[in-house]
This record gives sequence, C-alpha cells and structure tokens, in this order.
Amino acid sequence: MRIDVHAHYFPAPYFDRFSRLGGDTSYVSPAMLGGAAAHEIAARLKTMDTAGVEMQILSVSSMFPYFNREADAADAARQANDLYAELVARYPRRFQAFAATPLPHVDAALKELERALDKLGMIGVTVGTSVMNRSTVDEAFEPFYAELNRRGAVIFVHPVGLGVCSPLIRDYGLSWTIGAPFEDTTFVTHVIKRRILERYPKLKIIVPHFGGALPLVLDRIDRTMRFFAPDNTETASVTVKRMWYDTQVAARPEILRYAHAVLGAERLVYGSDYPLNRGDAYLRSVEYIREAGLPDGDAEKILDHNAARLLGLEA
Amino acid sequence: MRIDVHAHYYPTALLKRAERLGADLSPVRRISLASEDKADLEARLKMMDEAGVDMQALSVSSTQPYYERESEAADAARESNDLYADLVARYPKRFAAFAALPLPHVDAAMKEMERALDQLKMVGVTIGTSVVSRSAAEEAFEPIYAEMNRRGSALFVHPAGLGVCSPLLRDFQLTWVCGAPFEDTMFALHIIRRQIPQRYPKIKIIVPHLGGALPVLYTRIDATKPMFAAQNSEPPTTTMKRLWYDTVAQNNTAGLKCAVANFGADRLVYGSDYPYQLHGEYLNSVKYVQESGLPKADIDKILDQTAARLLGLDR
Repeated sequence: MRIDVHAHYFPAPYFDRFSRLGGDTSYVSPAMLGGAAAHEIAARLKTMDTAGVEMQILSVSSMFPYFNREADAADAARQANDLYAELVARYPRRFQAFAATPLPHVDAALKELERALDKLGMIGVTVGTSVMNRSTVDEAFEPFYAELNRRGAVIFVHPVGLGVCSPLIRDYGLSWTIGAPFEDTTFVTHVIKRRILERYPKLKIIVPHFGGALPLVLDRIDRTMRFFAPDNTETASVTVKRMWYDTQVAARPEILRYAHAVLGAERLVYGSDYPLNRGDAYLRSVEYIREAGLPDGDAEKILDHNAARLLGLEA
Repeated sequence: MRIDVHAHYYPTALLKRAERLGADLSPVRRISLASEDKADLEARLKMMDEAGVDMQALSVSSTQPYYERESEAADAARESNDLYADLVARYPKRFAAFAALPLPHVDAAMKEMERALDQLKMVGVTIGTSVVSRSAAEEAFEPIYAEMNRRGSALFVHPAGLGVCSPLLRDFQLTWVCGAPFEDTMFALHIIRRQIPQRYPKIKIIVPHLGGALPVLYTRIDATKPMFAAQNSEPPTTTMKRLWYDTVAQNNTAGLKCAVANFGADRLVYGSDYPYQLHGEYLNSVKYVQESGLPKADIDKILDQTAARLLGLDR
C-alpha cells in the first residue's frame, strides 16, 4: 500500500484563521490547489492516482496552531482537526490525517490530542520542529510525550519555517532553503539530547527530508556526543535508527542513496510535500526512488511497506 | 604535494590575548598538541609525516580577531599573523598560513591583508562564516572581496562557532555538533545570494566540511532559488561549483562520494581539522579518502594536486 506521509491540506477556513492570527502563509498560493474545493480534491486524487499513491496522510505543514493565547491556539487546533477529519470521513481509503495540537499549552494540547485521536479517529499527531521559539522537546512538554508514548502514537514532525530562529538565515530569505532542513536536524539532536526515545520508546517519530542535514552530520554528532549529551547510554547513530525519515527532497538519486546508506531502508518512508510538489514533481517524488538503484526490495519497502506498518494500516 | 588546508595552530600568546578580550575559548582549551611548544610541534610534524602530509596551511579556527573596537581587532590580527608567519619562517616547507583580518573594520582589514600577503607572504586569507552576528558577505565588506579578487587570493572559510546565532543550537550545546556545518552551508548561500563567486571569480574560496549540508540539500537549494536568489542568472548549484570544499567530514565516505557526485572531484581538497583529529584520526583523514572507492585520478587530485594549485604552491 503506497502511502504518502508528507502531504498538506489547506482548507480555507483554517488557512484564513491562521493568517489572521499572524501566521506566515506566503509559501502557499491558490494555484497549488491545496484547498477543500471540489476541483482541488479532484486534482489531488488524480495526481495521487497517476503516481500510484493510495493514501495521503495530511498535515498542516508549518501552519501549526501555536499561539500565545491559549484560546487562540485551542480554537485553531480544533478547527483544523475538524476540517481534516471531515475530508477523511468522505474519503477514508484515500486520506488520513495527523492531528495538530495547541502547544505550548500542555493541558489544552492533551485535551485536543484525546479528542482528535479518540473521537475524530486521527492517525497520529504532527508537531513543529520548535514551538514558539522553544524546543519541541522542552521539559514542560513532557506530559504530552508521556501520553503519546502510552498510546504508541505516530508523530509527524515538520519545520516551522523560522530559520532555526537565526537572523542569519531568516533575514536572507533562507528560511525554507536551508532553514527547514536545519530545523529537522536540530529537532533530531534535541530528541537525542533529552533522551526522549529512551524514556518514551513507543513513540514513532517521522522526521521529514531525511532528517535535513542528518546524513552528513551524523558521524560528527556521534563524535561530539560528550559535549552535548554526555549522559546518553547509546550513540546518536543508534538513536536515530529509532526514528523514521521521509523521502521528501527535490528528487535526486545520489541523495537517496546516501540517506539509505546512513539510515537504512527500514527507516525511510515515502513522502511528497504535496501540493508544493504537484504535477510532474509529484510523479518524480515516486519515480526517483524506483530509479535510484537501491538493493532489491528496498525501493518497495520505502514506497509501499514501511509506512503502512508504521501507521498500522497494513492490509 | 599533499597539503592539509584545514589545520589549526594556537600559539599561547594568541589564546591569552583572545581570553583577555573575552573570547569563548572552550573549543580551544580542551585540545592539545596545537601550541608553539617544541614537543607539540614535533608531535604535529610526526603525524604529518605518517599521513604523508607535506604541508599544513594553518588558520586560526574560530579565534578570529573580530572585535568591536578597531584597535583591539587590528592589534589582535597583527599579533596573530606575526605568530603564524614566525612558525612558517622556521619551517617554510612544512607550514603555510592564512591571514586573519580585523573585521568588521574594513580599512584596517585592507591594511592588514596587504601587510600579511605582501610582507609576511601568507598564502591566503581566512574568514569566519559570519563576522560575529553579521553576514560575512555583507555589502560593507565588498572591498575585501574586490581586493582578494585582484590578487587571485585563496580564502579559507571557517565556522564562527556561534551556532548560526540560533538559541535553539547555542542553548543546547549544539554549536559545534551541527552548528558548525550549518554555518558552512549558510556562508555558501550568503555569497551565492550576493553573487560573490561570479563577481569576484579569481578568489579561490574553500568552504570546510564538504560544504556542510550542501551536498544533501543540493536540489532543494535550486528548487527554492526564487526565495533567496531570484535575481541570479545561474542556478545556485552552478555557483556552488565555483567554490572548493575541504574533506573534513569525520571519515564520512558516503558524504564524500555525495559531494564528489554533486560538485566534481576537482572541487574537493584535503583537510584534516588538526588538532581535533590526532594520531589515528589524523591518519584516517587521509586514509578515508584513499579508501573511498573513488577513481584513483580523483583521489590524487583531492589529496595531492588541487590545493597546491589553489594556494599557488605548485610553482
């Protein structure tokens, strides 16, 4: 079963609310057809069919309901989840969705988490690589992870598009070019440093874009563990294999082969970044995996097996 | 001729001054065999001999003479360059050195560059990935690049060690773990954005650590060009091929191959990160290139040919 774990959906009521509350929506244009109108859903389904994608797991991209005022955050999260659940209910075999939660407000996030997973039947949660300039694995958020662990939940991570909070990245138009993958990698190092998976081993964390710069810096992280994570009992290269990584990079077989060599076929899951990648780019997001010359059976694992197992959607 | 373009030297006087001026010396203090001490130099030369390294081109690492007060910066740069030139004069066949500049003070930097290159005969210039919290590619620094271009100088770039000025890296002790390769990547994109390699094509810019995350973010960078370099006439990856990259990558063979696939073997030069790689690790900094499985002609270029040409030491 071919599942696209990295796909976004921008229904207008949530998009507008997020925008009104000061969120950045500039990277999404109407031409992307990422919304809820009938012709947009039809275009999406057609694209999926062309690429042999049976199901997309939808998420809010960087439009997380993370706001200072708890009521703003909670209302926005509720609206987003309701809108996603509504689409899933209409096409339960073509779409599932990751719930958004109103962090940094832990109590509200726990409440919405329960509602989204138990009542709306959502398949997991999505979190940003940081939460309003705080680490997503900040100690204050521990109850959130404890609950997700109790449920053995899947967490889909996504960049927040803030350039790792660096003016040297943000002020130079680089928030998405390099900021986003740096955010992915930074998230991974925070998970390592705070030993999240040691304490919450049932979490199934999916990090996008092969973990950003992770393949390149993993050896370096291993060698510098004693400076940033001296108490860890295992090396970073062991810990990173307790997570999963999606294949969403501008398609290039060399990069896939590299990530495959470092992270292993078992840890890679297909993702497209729809609707930012659409049309031919969507097709390429599948084809480049097939054409990368991976060992026999590995492309199939990445495209058609790993995600279904991870998400409990196996036939 | 095997030249190690990424090697550091920490004379005691330089560190004392930096400490007095409030520099963070924590990354320097924990290492050994890097001073002017006779035993340190003997150990260094012995490691070079064992690895078949004819010459190290020395640089200050992140202990750049970048201070707000011009006189402090100028004095520190002068002393630093004198100390390096002194060692080079004693071992002219074993060491060369990159000149440090008293930035952000452009006039003082121009003066010191002239002195260092003409009088001290230094082999090029070293610059931080940022000048404290300012981009090293800022318009104000153009005269430096214009002068280096006129001279056809080599420019060795090194992480500033500020975690891209991101609290999410700095506050998590990730400054050197993943902050440094992020800084390399950021520097490359800052100069690409300002088209410095095109406008000053005679500068031989060497970015460390395989360019940080450039090899894995390769296609993403082209795909997002409109966001950060809309006005550029060539794709960012074409500009990337105007730069050189050192092989400091902690024995990361897959990363080296990915860099060669993207940039071409002509664009890679051997570096070790001495004294952060000592003894067996120093030896490995050569061996991992030799045993990478790359074609022999490529390995020869990377280890023994390209750097000599860049530094004008092949004549």
